[in-house]
Amino acid sequence: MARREYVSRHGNLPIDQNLVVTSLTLRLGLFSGVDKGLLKRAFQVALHDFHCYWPSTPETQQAECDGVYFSPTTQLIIEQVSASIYCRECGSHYPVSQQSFQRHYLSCPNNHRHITQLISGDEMLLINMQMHPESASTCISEAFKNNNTQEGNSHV
Amino acid sequence: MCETCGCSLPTDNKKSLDIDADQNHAVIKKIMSSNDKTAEHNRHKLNKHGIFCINIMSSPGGGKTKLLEASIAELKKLYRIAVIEGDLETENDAERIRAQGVEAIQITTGSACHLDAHHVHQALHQLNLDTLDLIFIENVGNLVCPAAFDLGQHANIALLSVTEGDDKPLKYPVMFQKIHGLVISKIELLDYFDDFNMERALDNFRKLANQSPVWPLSAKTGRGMEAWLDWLVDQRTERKMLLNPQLETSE
Repeated sequence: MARREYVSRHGNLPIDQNLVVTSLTLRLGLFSGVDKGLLKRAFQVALHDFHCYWPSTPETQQAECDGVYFSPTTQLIIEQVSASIYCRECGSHYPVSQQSFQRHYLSCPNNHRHITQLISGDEMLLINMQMHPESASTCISEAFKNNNTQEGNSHV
Repeated sequence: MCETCGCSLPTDNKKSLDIDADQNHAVIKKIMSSNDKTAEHNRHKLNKHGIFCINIMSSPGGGKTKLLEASIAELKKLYRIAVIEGDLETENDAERIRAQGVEAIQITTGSACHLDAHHVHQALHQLNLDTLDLIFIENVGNLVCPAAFDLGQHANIALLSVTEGDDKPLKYPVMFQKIHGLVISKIELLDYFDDFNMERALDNFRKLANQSPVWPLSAKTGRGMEAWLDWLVDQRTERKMLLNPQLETSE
């Protein structure tokens, strides 16, 4: 997917070039069911494991990564968006933030007996990838390939 | 060496990490797209065979298996039924279902706390879909994660047992927002758990902008089961007509 996006924007990507991802931006709705803090921590764990084990273990040696690598400093930016409801009785839309949810939940802020419906808020989207090509021979992946045979696994 | 900050990288590589506007690639990609695609595939497959499929979710011990046992006892006169059972370990639930004389596929998820569309896809391959009308998926007992995964079902049902308290919907809003029907189970225990207020439970559920039907019932005594079973039959008939209008009119 990363390669396809890159090519669609820059025309082509020579075969001897890898792509290095340096930042990802996600958009999460209030009702996505995803916790921002936990996801950030999980991402750090995944990034750590990617650099620690990906190129060096026998199981991953053969695995395809399609020439796409994550920089060790890859940032995960999370944009949280509020939800919105429609009140059939008022005939209008209302935004629902974390604070207003704690007060009214998804009921109408004017009258909690009104019949409402959830319009948006369950988004879970990848909206931006920051990446650049690097020659496969000097690629960042080579830099950690030799260094990370250690078994250190700080998060376990 | 520090793996996360990149401090041990050769300087050449470090330079190339400089942020450059040209490196931004705006995309809109659903993070759950891999699961959603398989879920759509499952739904298509079920539709093709005219099968109505329901995903049942609740806390551990909410009464899912008991509700299924009681429902199957009634519905097996009308429909050919199979159940897909999700549990971390054991075949116990599948065996309880098999004792009802219907096929059950047990998925043991190991450490995963929910079923995803790929699990269900594998289970569907083990069933002979030509010989079925109705499939129940009994999800892993959990009110959090199962809410995030589309399995390819036609309706989501959650159970709230009276022993859990009437504020459960507000504690797990993502789950209770998404469901198409709420079973309030174990009402035979209402006399002993008098702090459970049915009206308050309903009110809390409606605060989540969910107008779906609610069935207070006891799978043990059979009280209230009729409304739930009627809904299932109606939904199944409606679905069947939607998928194959000619067939229904000629029946």
